[in-house]
Order: sequence, then C-alpha cells, then structure tokens
Amino acid sequence: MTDGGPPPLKSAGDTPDELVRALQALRDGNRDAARLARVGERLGAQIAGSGAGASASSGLVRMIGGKAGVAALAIGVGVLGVIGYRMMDGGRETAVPAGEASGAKPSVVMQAVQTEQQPQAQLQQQEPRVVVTAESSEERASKVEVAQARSVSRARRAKVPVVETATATETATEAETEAEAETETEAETEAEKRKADTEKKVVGKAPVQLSESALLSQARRLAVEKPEDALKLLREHAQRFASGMLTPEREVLTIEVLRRLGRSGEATQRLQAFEAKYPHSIYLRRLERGAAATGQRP
Amino acid sequence: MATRAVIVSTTRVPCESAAGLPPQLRDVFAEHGPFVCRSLRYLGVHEPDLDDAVQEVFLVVHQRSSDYEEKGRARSWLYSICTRVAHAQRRKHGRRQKEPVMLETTAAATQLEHVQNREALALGWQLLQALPAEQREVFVLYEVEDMPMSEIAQALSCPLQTAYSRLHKARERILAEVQRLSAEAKP
Repeated sequence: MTDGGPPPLKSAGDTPDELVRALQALRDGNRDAARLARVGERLGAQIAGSGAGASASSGLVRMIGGKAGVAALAIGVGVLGVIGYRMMDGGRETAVPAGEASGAKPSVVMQAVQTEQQPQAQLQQQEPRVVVTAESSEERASKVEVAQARSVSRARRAKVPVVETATATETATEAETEAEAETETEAETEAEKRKADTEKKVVGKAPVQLSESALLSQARRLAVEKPEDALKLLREHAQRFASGMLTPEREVLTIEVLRRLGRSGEATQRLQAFEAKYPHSIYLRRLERGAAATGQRP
Repeated sequence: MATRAVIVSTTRVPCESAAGLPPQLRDVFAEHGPFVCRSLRYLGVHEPDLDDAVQEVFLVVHQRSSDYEEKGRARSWLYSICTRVAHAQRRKHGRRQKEPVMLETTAAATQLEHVQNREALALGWQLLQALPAEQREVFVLYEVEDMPMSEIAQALSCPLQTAYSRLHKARERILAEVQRLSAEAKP
C-alpha cells in the first residue's frame, strides 16, 4: 500500500501468529471457483437471453442521457401510472400515495437497472411496482426522509458536500444505507455493552476449550519438559476428538511420550496397533527409529 | 515463532467460467469474482444466497459498465455495489448469519495444515464478529484485501480521516480480542 497508511498487521513483526493466519485464511481460505463457474454460466445465459433488450437499452440510455435519464423516466412512468390508477379506482385506500411514487425510492434504482433490459415498448406499458418489502410505503418514505435529513446534517457538520450522484434516488439509497449501518452500529454497540456487563458479572466462567490442533500443539510443547501433563492433554484429545482428523498424529505423540515416561510396554503395544491400522504411515519410520534408540522393538 | 500455515491462493477465476460473458464483463468477472464473493460474505450475505447476490452484482456491473473507471478503483466501485446488493438481500432474507459456513479450504499438504486452515478461518470470522459493522468494513478491506485507504474511503463514501479512525479502533479491538482468547486458552 502506497497511500501512507499504517503497516498492515500481516507484515508487522509483533502481530500474533494466530491473527496473521486468520487474516490470511479470510482472504484465501474459501474456495469460490465452483460458485463462480455456476454464476458465470447463469450470467452469460441471462445476458444472452436479454441480448436484444440489452442493445436496445444501451440505445435508450444514450438517447435519454445516461442512467439519470433512465431513472427519471422510470419515476415519471411511475407517477403517470399512479395518476392513472387513482383515476381508475376512484381513490380507494389501496391506491399508492402520490408522494411515494414521486419521492426518493431506492427500489426504483434497481428497477431502473432491471428495466434497462426491457425493450422500450415494454417499458411504456409496465405497471410501476412501488414496494417489494414488508414495510408499509409510509414507513419506508419516512425512513428515507429521516436518512436523507441525517445525511445532510452530517454533511453540514463535517463540511463535506453532499455527494451529488446522478439521481436523487441514489442519494437516498446511500443515505438509507448509511442510516441503516448507523442504526446497526448503534444496536451492535449496545449489544456489546450488555455483553461486556454480563461478562463482568460472571464468576468462575468455564475455560475456553482448545481446538483439535491447538490441543495437540500444546501437548507437543509439554512432551519434553512435562510428559505427564502432555499425556493428560493427549487423553483429553482422545476423548474429545475420538474420530478427529489428527488421530494418527495424536497416536504418534502418545507413543513418544510413553517412551519418555519409561512405559515401554504400553508404547510397544500402541506402536503395534498403529502399524496395523496405518501400515503406510509416514510416521512409522520415525517411530521405529525411536524404538531402536531406546532399545525397544515392536 | 510457530510455522505459519501455507494457504495457496487462487485469485483469478478460470477462463471457462467467464467464457460466455461480454468481453469487458469477462475481464472484471475473472479478475474480481473472488473479491466480490468475499465482500458479500463480509457484508453478511448468507451462503445459500451468495450465488444470486454475486450474479446481481455483476449484472449491475454489466449495466453500468460506463461507470467503470481506471483499474485501480475497480474494487472500491465493486464494493459499493456489493454493499447495496447485500443490504437488499438482508432485507429480503433476514438478519446476517453469525456463524460462518466452513467451506472446503484450498489444498493443504497435510491433514494438519487442512485442520489449521479451517481453524484459522473460524478464528478470523470470530474476530470480525467482535467489531461493529463500520469498523469491520474498514478492517477487512485494509487488512485482508490490502486495499489502499483512499480507495476504502471512496468505497465506503466516508472521509479519509474517518476511515483511518475506524481502522485504528478496529485494530485495537481485534488485538485485544486475540489477547483475551490466548489468555483464556492457556492451561
């Protein structure tokens, strides 16, 4: 990174190893190749299927001056549709309020994007779908208004000009996004405070259990200086991860620790069982060398 | 210092996946498809909804290809699209997941590395959950995705100083959380 930011944690010398590994895993630890293959095919089919619409919509976009014009056209169609609907229904309660159709409406942005795919003739006939969420239209409109007001007042405080995006609806989308994020942040901060308070009150909290590999690593570290403690951890590992993926590694370490404790008979029995179960294991040579060094032979 | 797990990264999508796409979209898809998948996950899109969300992002990319600026800003532009799509998905499908779905990790040389990779991924998600949403976004984009701060500020539509401040707070929280977990794990 060359924009003057602090050194990344991954390359800072004092970052704990487990954090470096975690950051690397977040970046590289998920395979998405199969997902992207599926999506690539679907996307190709979708775009090819709307190929006539796409080229027509490109012309539409150029003709009416870009996405601002498309969104404005969609809003205009929505307004006309609402007026027509009211006239037909005689103003029943189910009619969409006029303010909704003409006001800021984030869903219209996506609708505008989607309608770009449709031929121009269909666009003129399309009925406006105003709301697709469970919220009532009034709640949504007031939420957007609040979000916009917050965005403007925040911008004023920060003396940062409100971003003049191409359309009012995009501003509302960003404002609503920001308001939602802020609401979530506040809610999460509150939840965190409650959690922290609860944790302070807990007495005698149960210790965090080590993971399969961490438990084995811990046993390995203790194997030379404190083999008895290492054996306890290996027993715990055998109980918790009886069918775990590190069973061979656990068995190998157990045999070596038993030898260190002078329990050669047990070590030999376990080595014989290991050889029978894993006849091609890469660890066998190491175990046999160890047995030869201590004068034991399976 | 303990040996760090080697994780092989595959950052570019194989060409066959993008073969049916228009040329400009194909390049963006191949180059940034994995980044879009990860971004949507960071933003809380559920695994079952990820295919649809990725498709929606690239459909918007296709529709707004005229907005695609120089390559250096592609990720900040893509991330802002991911933000909108993720919000729409969450409204549609409910609150974000708290537990990550443990997908198959990249090829590991040994079983031990495989297990370590999975555990590292689980720890990574656990640490991210300790952050408020605003700090989490800056943290993953800087520390995981190696995005420059100027691009991050653009992606999140916030002032540069605000982004720095969030990163600083996020780092403090993350390091404190790592210390807490390490202290609890000691026998």
